[in-house]
Amino acid sequence: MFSFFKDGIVVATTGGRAYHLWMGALSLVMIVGGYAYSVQFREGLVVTGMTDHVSWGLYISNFTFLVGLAAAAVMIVLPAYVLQDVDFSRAVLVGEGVAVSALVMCLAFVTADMGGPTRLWHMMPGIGYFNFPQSMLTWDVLVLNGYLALNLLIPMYVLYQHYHGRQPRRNLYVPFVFLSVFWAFGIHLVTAFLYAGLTARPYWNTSLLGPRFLASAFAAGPSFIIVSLVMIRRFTEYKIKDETLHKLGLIVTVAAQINLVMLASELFKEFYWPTHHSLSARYLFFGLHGHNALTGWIWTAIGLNVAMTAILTIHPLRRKVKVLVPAATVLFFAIWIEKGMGLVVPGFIPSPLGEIVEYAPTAIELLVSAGILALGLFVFTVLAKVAVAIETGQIGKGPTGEH
Amino acid sequence: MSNEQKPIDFAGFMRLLTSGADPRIERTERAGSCGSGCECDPEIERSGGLGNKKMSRRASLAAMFGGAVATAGVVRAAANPLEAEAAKERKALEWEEYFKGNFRLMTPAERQQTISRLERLAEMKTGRDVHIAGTQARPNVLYGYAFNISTCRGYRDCVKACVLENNQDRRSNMQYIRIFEMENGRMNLEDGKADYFHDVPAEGHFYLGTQCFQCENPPCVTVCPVGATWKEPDGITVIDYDWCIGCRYCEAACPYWARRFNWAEPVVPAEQVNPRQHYLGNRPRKKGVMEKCTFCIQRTREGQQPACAEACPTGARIFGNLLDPNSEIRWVLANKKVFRLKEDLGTDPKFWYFMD
Amino acid sequence: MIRIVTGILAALLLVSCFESEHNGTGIGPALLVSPDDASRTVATLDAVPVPDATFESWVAGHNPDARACRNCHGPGMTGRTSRTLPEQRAAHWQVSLVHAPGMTCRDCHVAQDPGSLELLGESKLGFEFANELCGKCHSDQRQDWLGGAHGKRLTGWAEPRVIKTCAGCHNPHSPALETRMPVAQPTIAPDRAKKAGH
Repeated sequence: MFSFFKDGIVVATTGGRAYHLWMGALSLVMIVGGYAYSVQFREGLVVTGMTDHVSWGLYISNFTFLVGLAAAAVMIVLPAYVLQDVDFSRAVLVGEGVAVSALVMCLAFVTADMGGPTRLWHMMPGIGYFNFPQSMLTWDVLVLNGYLALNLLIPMYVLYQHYHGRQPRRNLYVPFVFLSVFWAFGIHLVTAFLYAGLTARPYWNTSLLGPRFLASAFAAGPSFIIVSLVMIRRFTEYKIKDETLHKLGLIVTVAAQINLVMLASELFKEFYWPTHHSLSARYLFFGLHGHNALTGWIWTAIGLNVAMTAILTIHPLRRKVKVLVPAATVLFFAIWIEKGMGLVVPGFIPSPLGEIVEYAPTAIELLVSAGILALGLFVFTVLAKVAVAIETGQIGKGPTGEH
Repeated sequence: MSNEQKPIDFAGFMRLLTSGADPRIERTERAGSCGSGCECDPEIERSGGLGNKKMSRRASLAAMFGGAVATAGVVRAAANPLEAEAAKERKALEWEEYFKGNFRLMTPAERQQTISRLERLAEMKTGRDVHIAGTQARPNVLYGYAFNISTCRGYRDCVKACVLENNQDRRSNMQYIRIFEMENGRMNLEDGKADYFHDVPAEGHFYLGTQCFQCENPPCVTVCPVGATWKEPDGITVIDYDWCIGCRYCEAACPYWARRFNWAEPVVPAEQVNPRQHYLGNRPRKKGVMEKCTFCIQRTREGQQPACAEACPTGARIFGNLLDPNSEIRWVLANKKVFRLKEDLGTDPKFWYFMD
Repeated sequence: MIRIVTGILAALLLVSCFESEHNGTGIGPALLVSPDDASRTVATLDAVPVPDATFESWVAGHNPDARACRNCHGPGMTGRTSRTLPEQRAAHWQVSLVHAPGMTCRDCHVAQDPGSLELLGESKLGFEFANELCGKCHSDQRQDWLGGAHGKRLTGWAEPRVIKTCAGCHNPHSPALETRMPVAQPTIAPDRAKKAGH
């Protein structure tokens, strides 16, 4: 056990020049983000762009998006472990690495958003008060931490066994894989319910929110995994077959198509006969009384979404890795805009009393967010590097039996 | 039941740790346990026992780490013995405050202890002698409010009185009440204007005020992950400012935009601080916590009207006990045509609007 | 019993009002116990604004009975001409009647007895019953006032209920309230982006 971790740390701290540059850059961004957070910690959330009108902003937007990213790991966990799909089994560890790093970012973003981070212990059952099951936030705390544990334990077990040259015992870990599959749906549905349960905000108070969260997550998550796999294939010895990328590409495409269908039905509902409850959507897509900070963003996001979905829908195009990778990258960012800022901020505009106050993140917020994203990428790089080292037999005895 | 249990004595812990003269002892004893005429709600008594058990775990945490901090404080401020003593006391008080529990779950004795500490801290910080009440709800009282949109003339005297009464942050100009200037013939708040600044009432307009409606079914309470906000037996939704973690979920959940967040450390000039306070009401807040209208709990539980109703020069604000059939509020509900905002949400606000 | 309580209360209010004679407009108190509904305690405080400070202090200092208008006004209020005769105008120089169209002094005041009010020519009333006079026309408001939907309450929410009389808020000669500037303007959108810049 000790040598497993020791070798892991050695692998994580050694690498080529590019690796050190990459990690150094991430560390620098994290340090700057940490400083920005220290300013926020001292002065209060007044240094952000948030107000009593728009009381959640960039942090919670990113949180929401990244929960989806974490949930999407399930799309390759299921076929890899349960259906024993050979093409996916090589990608699954990467998927779980994505989930873990996304969850680390989620927790960091939520903590960054707290007014009293030093009082978070108030939530701990036993010494605090955990308002379960009434508060959806307590559900979210449970599912996120549970999912984090599952996604750490399952791959750790598999890697540990591979490290010692043993075959992991299916009856030991497959039940947890099943659990994690349901759990993944759980984390994203619960996060959607966090919003959908608020009758005060008609923009979120829709039964379509949960399914839409899932669809967009299953488009964005595998997109990210595709890009990571291509990176890993390029920079390491780990072999990823094109077939794996194609299968992931198919998942992305189907999810993106479903997402667009839901977007269309939502747009129809909001704008065929616009009511009082459509004001947020009107603000988002067309602006309200001259306030239109988000219209450019959302139309960009939708334009890219539609274009990328169209490209991916054409089989010959999608099967070219040179097309798939940029398309997946663009789609990822389009969904980030649509689901991050495009979902959270308009829910607050106009306020329940009809006042319109717009939101724009401040430099502090951007720096803190960048720092947290760097933290996530840092964690992911370490996890992926160690996992690849074990899987390729660089450290330990290497996996046996599979492929 | 919880009365038999000996409550954890924070002051005792800290006395052991800091082993200095403790000027609070006298205050704590003066305040005593719940002897000051307030009737203890049996429900709170019950949950108090629960809180007590929790406290003991927290107390041991505090004891574990408290020593180090207190010692560090002594070393640093050793230059002036008087100042050192004060700094030490303040550190100790703040330390105990950090580890205290949720006010709703505290035993009466624990409540008195935290109130004594807070009063002492306020005195040390601002040099003012404040009184923080922990008055409980009167039996057979459920507060209700009616707002006459015919007679409100938009002076905003209520807003001013509210800010002064409730020690709201002056720097951000925080206000609990919004008065909307509405065009005759329209009832959409979106069309209203709250930052009007001209002679009022304006021709062809009426005025509609909003604040916390103290819903019987408050969404803000349901969503709070730590139970820092709850509905009191007299129907007032309150916040334990020291328990709130500042996630602002309640702010998103309120359909009436009644909750406010302290984005920065709130500022109230010491001479303007209203020294007559309530733990769940107008005692000064800190940065990073929520706050809201409490129907001036520090006033109404003493039989007074809320500051807004008292300040209203036109009598547009009617406040009273919904359980008293002879109250003005009951007369209004029985004899006038009333409406509430967003009744369709099922929040059951205890704030009605009516017309002459 | 209730009458006694409210009587004492009103006496206290009366005293306190005369004590605070220099605080802004003058206040002349009166008491009314609702004749309709004796179960509800309705104590009222009459407060007619008297803009002239010297007049107010004279009344308070020399003649506690502020209702004895005849001390100043003298006899001889006669119908529609009363405001046009020079000597009458001198006595009522500060009164301008902006009530319902076509109203005259005599609609409310007894011509030969300025210390009394007249209920649409029916009977004489003391000033302490001015509310009854107002209620003859403004019956809805009177109903609301007695019930609790109209009028400014001066005590807390619990018993006893003490509210201002009609003239406590409305000048009977010009009952519409005046417009004025509001206070405490709200900040709708704090400029966060700028604040964070420095």
